[in-house]
Amino acid sequence: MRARIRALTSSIVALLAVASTTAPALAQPRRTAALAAEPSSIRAWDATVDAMLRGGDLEVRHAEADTLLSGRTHVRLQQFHRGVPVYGAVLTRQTDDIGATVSIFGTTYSGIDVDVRPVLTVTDAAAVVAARTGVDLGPERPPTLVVLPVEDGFRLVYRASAFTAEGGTELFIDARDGAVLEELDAAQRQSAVGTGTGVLGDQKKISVSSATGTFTTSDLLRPPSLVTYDMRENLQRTLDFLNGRITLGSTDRAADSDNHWTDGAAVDAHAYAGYFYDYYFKRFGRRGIDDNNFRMLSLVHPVPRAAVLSQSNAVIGAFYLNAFYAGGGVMVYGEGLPSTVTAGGQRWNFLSGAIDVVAHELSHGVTDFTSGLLYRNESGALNESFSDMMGTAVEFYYQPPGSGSMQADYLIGEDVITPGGIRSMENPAAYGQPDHYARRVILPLSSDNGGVHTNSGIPNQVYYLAIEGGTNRTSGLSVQGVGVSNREQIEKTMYRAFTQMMPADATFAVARAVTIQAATNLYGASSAATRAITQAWTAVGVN
Amino acid sequence: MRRVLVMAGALLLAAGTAHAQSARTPSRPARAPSGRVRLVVNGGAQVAPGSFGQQFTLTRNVEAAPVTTDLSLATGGVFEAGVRLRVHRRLSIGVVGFVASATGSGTLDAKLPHPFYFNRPRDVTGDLTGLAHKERGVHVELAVPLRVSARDELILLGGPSYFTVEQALVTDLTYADSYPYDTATLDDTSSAVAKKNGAGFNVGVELTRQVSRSARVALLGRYARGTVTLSAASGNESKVHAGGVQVGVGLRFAF
Repeated sequence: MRARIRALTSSIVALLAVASTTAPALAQPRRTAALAAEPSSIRAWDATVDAMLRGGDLEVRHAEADTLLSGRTHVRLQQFHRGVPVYGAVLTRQTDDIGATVSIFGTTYSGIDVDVRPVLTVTDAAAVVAARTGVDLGPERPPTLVVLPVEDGFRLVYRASAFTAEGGTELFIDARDGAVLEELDAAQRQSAVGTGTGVLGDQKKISVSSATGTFTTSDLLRPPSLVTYDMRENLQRTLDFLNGRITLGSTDRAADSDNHWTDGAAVDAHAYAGYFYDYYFKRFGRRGIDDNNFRMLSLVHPVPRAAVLSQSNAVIGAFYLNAFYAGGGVMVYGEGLPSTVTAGGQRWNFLSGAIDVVAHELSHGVTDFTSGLLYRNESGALNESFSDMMGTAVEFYYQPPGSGSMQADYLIGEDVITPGGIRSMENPAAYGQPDHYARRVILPLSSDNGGVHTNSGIPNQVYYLAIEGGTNRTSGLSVQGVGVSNREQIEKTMYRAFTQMMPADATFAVARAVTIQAATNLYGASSAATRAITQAWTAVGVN
Repeated sequence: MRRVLVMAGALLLAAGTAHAQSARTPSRPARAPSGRVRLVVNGGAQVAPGSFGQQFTLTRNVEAAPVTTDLSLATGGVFEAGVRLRVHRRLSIGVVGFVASATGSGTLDAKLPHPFYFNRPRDVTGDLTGLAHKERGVHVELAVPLRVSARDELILLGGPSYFTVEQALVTDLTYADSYPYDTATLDDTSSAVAKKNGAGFNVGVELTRQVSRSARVALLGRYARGTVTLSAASGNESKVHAGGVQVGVGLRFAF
């Protein structure tokens, strides 16, 4: 019993397969399966193999004696087309002690008409591998030419394998134009969906991989390489990885034996990274950080939480009370504080437990690959603000609006830094941030890169007012927002402005012009979105 | 089914021929067989009594995936053979064994959980075909013949029936999806045959015509009904009706 179309397709395929074994033709590219174990078919295939060997279309790749059946020999034959191996076209011929063929199995292709002169050099192909995977192939494993059977014929391609900390990838690169025709996971793993308990005790699904009875945090269902590493409180190892001195492997991934995960920090880092990818894909059609499924590596437990009191202020600031995007698709999530310890009157839980924090950090990666907003002064504040905007947007995408735990609001980090989080887009001044250009701080670069985490309150207020509307507390100017049901308009406007139009050294004034232009292009000059954006910038004193 | 109808046509043709021959050869009408035992052989078609369905739950992506099927049986063939014994004047009691088969088809609806998020099921629908249905059993008949003419008789039938029902039921499914996994399509289903015995009843009427001293041809109409609850797996049960409206032809041999 089958769904009808499936059954029909299967039948046709089966019929074609049968036909191909019995009546191979030479005029059209086609696959011929050898299943010769009977005398008549062995004779026919023997003749074919011998002819192909004489013509150079087959070469012996390997021959070995049968260790289980005395006198038998197995020869593995590789098909070539004008000296280039045909991918997957291999025959095995078994002979007995007098050299008579006992069986022939395998696949050959006919009708190959590929020009075997590549346009790309091996170096060109290696460059494609490097661009795709970040791996510079050494001289021992250069890309090699093969003829790749594809749906409509054959392609001359370079085949290369690249291995990184998160696994192996096999690439088939068109030797004419460098297009990656196929990309395969070189490691043998299976996807699995597990359940996990997050930092806040909530249940969520996580996409992981399974191998040899262990589940690890490598998401095989989403397009990019999305891996979460458990640094096991080893700061030195964390630093070594961030500095490129070591690579991380599968044993560094967070692991679980029954796929019911209880390490909240790992669960949330892994799940929320996926949520981030999904949001950008569904809202903007963007494929990850670089829009080309660049890797997303999350590092949790970089330090021992219980040992916080013995750590330096620098370590506490960087690896306990912080989360950061380290470049190259790597995020590091701080460990927070033991439940008996507070900082600034607030309790700090694992930083990966806040979806806005995770999306904030990953959005820095988006900025890295797009506007490249310089992380200093006003451009740096815009860089920070864009991450807050997207962090909040992701929060509203997945959580119901409200003011409680795991409810969407305009606070940043409020789910893990309690009470209140660390910033407010609705009322920046409540957290020591300016909500108006007249109140901006002017700091030296040595102080928070010129106040990037302080002055971000101004564009943050723009985002809030453009959606919700209201009055800026400093200027007293009112803004007619687009309304919560139209928040998507402001999200798209900001995304478009910040990823496609914003120059790297943008000032707030430039950001005003760019975001208004983005809204105008998307929704029209007289649209609610354009009006809201314009009024909001004016309300915060940026003209 | 087609074979049954052809057979029925041949029988009726034979009956007509016998009648024509007897008309050309004047003779006294054949007497009704005096034997107390009558062998019964019938073939025909059975129209199933209605649709049935399944409601069961699979687990996909660590969540419950409810599956519903709505199935009906196509008209199938039925074959009967048995014996009737005259026990008192015109009253007979018979036992007729039967086999019937049909093919089930219908639709499947499932809600497949999303791999990334709780409570975001994807609706999946698909057609189901080729679900085999078989019935075996016996009809116990109380037969009361009513004489219509010298050669024809109308027989009223009725009594309890005992069924063994085998029905292929859906037990699992596979589907295809791809990122972002917000939709899915049914790829394939698998089934298992569930079997159960049950009791019911049958009522019917048959019109027979004598074609020789000991043989009669018959037109039969019967309604049989029974209900069994089949279990394809734990939590995967389906209430299936057996029997239905049967129309067929047959032969009767008296001894």
